[in-house]
Amino acid sequence: MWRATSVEAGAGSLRALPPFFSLYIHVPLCRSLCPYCHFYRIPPRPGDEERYLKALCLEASALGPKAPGPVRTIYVGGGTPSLLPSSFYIRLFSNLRDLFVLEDLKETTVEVDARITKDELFGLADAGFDRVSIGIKSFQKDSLKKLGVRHDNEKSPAVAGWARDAGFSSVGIDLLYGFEGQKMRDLITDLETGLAVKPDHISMYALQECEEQGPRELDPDITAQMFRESRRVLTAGGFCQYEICNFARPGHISLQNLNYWMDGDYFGLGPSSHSALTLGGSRRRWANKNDLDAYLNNPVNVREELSVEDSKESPAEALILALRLASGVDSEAFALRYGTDPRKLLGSSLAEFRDLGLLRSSSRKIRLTTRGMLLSNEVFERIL
Amino acid sequence: MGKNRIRNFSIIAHIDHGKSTLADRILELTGAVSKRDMTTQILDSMDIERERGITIKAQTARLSYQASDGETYQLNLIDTPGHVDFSYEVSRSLSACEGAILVVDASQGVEAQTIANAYLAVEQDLVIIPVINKIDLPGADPDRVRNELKSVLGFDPEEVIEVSAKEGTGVPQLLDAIVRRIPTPSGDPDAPVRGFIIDSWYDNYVGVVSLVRIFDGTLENRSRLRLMGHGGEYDLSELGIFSPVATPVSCLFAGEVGYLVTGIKDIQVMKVGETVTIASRPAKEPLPGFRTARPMVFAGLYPAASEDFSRLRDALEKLKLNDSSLVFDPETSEALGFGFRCGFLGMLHMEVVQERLERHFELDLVTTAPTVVYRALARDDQWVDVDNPAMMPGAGDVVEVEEPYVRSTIMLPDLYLGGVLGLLTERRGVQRSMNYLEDRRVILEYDLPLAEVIYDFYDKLKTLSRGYASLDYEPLGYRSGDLVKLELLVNGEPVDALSVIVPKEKAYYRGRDLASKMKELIPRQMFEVVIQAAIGNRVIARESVKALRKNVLAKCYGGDVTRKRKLLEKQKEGKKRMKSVGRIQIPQDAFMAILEVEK
Repeated sequence: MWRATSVEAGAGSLRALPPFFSLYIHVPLCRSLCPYCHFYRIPPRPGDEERYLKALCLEASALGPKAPGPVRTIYVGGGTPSLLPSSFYIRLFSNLRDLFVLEDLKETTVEVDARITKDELFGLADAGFDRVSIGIKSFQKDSLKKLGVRHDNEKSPAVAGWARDAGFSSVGIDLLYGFEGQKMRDLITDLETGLAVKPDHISMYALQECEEQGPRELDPDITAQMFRESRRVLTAGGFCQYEICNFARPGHISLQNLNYWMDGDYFGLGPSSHSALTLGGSRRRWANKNDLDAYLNNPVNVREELSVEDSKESPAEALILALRLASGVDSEAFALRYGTDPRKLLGSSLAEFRDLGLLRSSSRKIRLTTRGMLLSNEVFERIL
Repeated sequence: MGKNRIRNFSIIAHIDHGKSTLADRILELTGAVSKRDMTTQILDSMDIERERGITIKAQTARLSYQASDGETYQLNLIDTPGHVDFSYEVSRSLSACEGAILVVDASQGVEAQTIANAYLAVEQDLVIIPVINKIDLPGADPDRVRNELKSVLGFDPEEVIEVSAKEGTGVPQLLDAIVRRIPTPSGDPDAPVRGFIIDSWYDNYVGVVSLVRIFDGTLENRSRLRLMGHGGEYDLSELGIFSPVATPVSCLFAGEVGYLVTGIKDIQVMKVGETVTIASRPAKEPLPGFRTARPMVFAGLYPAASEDFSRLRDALEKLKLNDSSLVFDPETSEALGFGFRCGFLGMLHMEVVQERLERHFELDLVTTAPTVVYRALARDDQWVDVDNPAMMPGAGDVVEVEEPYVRSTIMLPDLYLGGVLGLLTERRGVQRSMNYLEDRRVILEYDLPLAEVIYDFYDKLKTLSRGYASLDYEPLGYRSGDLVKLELLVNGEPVDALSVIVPKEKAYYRGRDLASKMKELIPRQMFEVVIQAAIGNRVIARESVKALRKNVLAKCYGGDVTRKRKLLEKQKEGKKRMKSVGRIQIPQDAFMAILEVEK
C-alpha cells in the first residue's frame, strides 16, 4: 500500500518497500573528529575491536527474540565503520544470522570515509555489503579546510569507481553545503564533480552548526538558494529528489532511510543508536547512551526509553516523517494505517500552508513544495 | 507609662544614606534585638526589599530606653519607605510622629531626597534631628556636610549629631537627643478615643492588621470600634505593640503606637488615614484626614499564557490586600488577549509588583510600556482620563490634551551641569530655579512632564553625572501639551498594545525609531511583514521584515526521530511565548521596546 516514489516503482515487488524491519549498527569510531559532525564518535583504541564485537553480539542476542519479522535492510553507520576490518563484519554477520532472519535482506549498507583504500572496499564487499555510502563532504581542499577537516581528499573522486569495481550494486556519496566561506561556485563544482563520478545516490546536507565550535552556517537565504541550485543541477543530471536531503537515480533510493520516514520498525545496536518498535498498539522509541565504555561493560543496560506513545499520538510523528518524502502522503493509506486522516492533523493549517505555497494537496495526496521543504519545520511544528 | 516618657519618631534619609543600618543599631542598643539575633536591616523584612536594599512597607517597633537622666523612655520608631515612589507613605508615617531623624551620608552630603524628606517633616511640624552618618568611611567630610545642612536646610551646626551606624559610634548620643529634643505627644488622655490608622495590611491568619497611633484617650482591648470615615463598627479582637515582634497588650494610651486586629478581611474598610474611636463614647471630630494615594503610572499586565488569566487576577487581588495603592481593571488587547490595566505609584512600585507576581505567584507576564494618565477634551466638551494610549480618541475628536507634570529637585556637582541641562531641555523641562551651594554643587528645580520622567530619566541623569546627581519630584497637576497618538501597524493592522502618546515635534523620530526597532525584534515569518508607524491616517515610517526562506532540519540519522521532535517542540514552545496579531507572531520583548527607543 505504500508507494515510495514514482522512480521507485520499477524497483521490484511491493513487498520490498517499507515499512518493514531494519537493523542499524553504530560504529562510534573516527580517526579525527570533524568539527561539523554532531554524532557520537571517539578515536579508536587498541583492544576496542574485539570487545565491541562481543558487546554487539550480546546486545543482538538480547534483542533478537523481540524482532517483529525478517530483517529487510542493515545499515552500518558511524563514526567511520570502515575503520574496522572486513573480518569484523564477517564475524558480526555470522552472529546476526543466528539471531535474526536475514534471508530476505534487500540492502546492506556501510558508510565509509573518503580516505578508504581500494582493498578495504573489496574487503567490505566480500563481507556482504551491497551498498556503500561515501562521506565525501566536498571534493575541494579549500572547502574541506573551511569545514575544519584536516585530511586531504585527492583520492575522493576515485573512491566511487573503486566501489563499483569491488561489486557494490549501489554507490552513494554525501556532500555538505551552506557553511561560512562557501560560494555558490564551490557548490556547483562539487555537484558537477559528484555527477562525474557517477554515483547512484547523493545526499545533500546543509551544515548545522554546533553551539560553540566548528564552522558557522552561511546566511540562511543563501543556503536556501543553494538548496534550489542543488535540486536543479542534480535533477538535470538524472537524479530525482525523493526526500528533502536525498537524491537517487531510479531504483537506488536508500531503503533503510525510507523505512525511517515510513515509520517502520528498527533496532539500533551500539552506543548512541536509536530503535523504534510498534507492539500491541503502542509505539516505543528508545536509544542507547552515548558512552562506548558503558556499552562495552554492559551492552544490554545502556538503554534509555525515549517515548512510549499510544496509537492516538503516533500519527503526528508519522506524518512529519512521511511529509519529508517528495512523493508526500497518501491520505487513504495513511488513514488506513493510523486511523486518522492527515488533513485532520493539519486542520486549518492545511489551507494556510497551501495559500503560502508550502503544501500541495489533491484528493488523495498531500506533499511539500520546494518552498515547503525549505520551510518544513514551520509545517511540522503545527502538526505536533 | 505616662505620655511624657513617650517619643514617637521616624528616620528619613536619601536612599543609601544608611537609614536601615541606623534602625538596626538603635534596635540593638535598646535591647529590642540581641546582637546574636540580628540579621542586618531587620525592619526590611520582605525579601525583595532586602535584595534591592530599599524599604517599601513601613514597619515599626516600640523600644524601651534608659536615658542618661536615669529614666526609662518608650521610643516608638516608625519606619518609612526610602524611595521617591513612596513619598506619600513617608508623609503618612511622619503624621504619627513628633520628631524625625534626618540622616545624611558624610561623604555624599545633602541630596534631593534629603531636602524633600526634610520638607515633609517640616510640613508636619516635626522636630528634626540632623544626623551625619558613615563618619567612619575614608571619604567622610562631616564639616562640609554640616555646612550644607546649614546653607540648604538652615540647621544650626551645633545641633547636628555625627554617627557611624555601622560601628555604633554616636548612636547613644543620638538616643539621648531623641529623648531631650523630641516633644512628648500632645493629646488628651481623658478625651474620647481618637486613633489614626497609619498603615493596614492583610495577614493570612487574622485578617487585616492596622498600625495605629492613639492621639486621644485610651484604647482598650475588646472595645467596640467605630470607624469614623467608613461608618462601620467592629469588635477589637487583638491589640498589641511591635517590639519589634508582635506582642499583645491590654490597652494603648494616648501618644502610643501599636497595632489592632478586628477580623476585618477587606483592607479597603480599614483605610490608611481612617480615624478610629469607641462606639460607646465616640469622639466628635475625626483627625485631619489623608488624601488617597493616586496611581501615577499605568501599564497593561497580561499573562504570557492566556490560560493564566484567572491566576493573574487572583494574584493581583492578593497583592491588593497589602497594597492599597495598587489598582487594576480588566482590559482586553487584540494583540495580548485578556489582561489588566494596572496603576502604580511609580516605576519602582510597578517593578516590585511585577517581581512579586513573577516570583511569588510564578506567573509569566507580558507588560506593556508604562504610561501616565492623560486627559483629553473631546468635541462634546467632556474631559476623559486616558490611562491606555490605545484608548486616546482620534486626532479629529480631540480638542485638547493635557498631561501630568511634576516639580523635580535635582542636586548635582556643577561639573555635570551642561549634560544634565541638555537632558532636561530634551525632556521638555521648564526651569524654575538654579542655585549654587558653596561646594560647587547646584540645586535645580524643574517642571517636567511626568511621562518624560517615569522610564529612564533617572538612569540617564545618573549616567550624565557619573552617579552624583540625585532626584526627587512631586506632582504638580495637569498642563496642556501638543501631543499625538503614534500607532504601530503590522501588515496594515494596528497593534493596540504598541500605541504610544508622544509630543508632536518628536513623533516623526519616535515613529521611525520604533519601526526600525520592531524590525529587529519581529522574527522572519513565512510571509513578508510590513511595519508602519502612523499618526492618524498618515504613515510616517515603514520597514519590512523579509519572508523566511529556510527552516529545515537535515539528516534523520540512524533513525533518531526523538531529537528532531525535541527541536520542533522547542521551536513551537518559543512561538507559544509570542503573541499574534492576525497571523503575525510578535515576541513579548516588542511590547516593552517602545521604551528602549532613544527619545
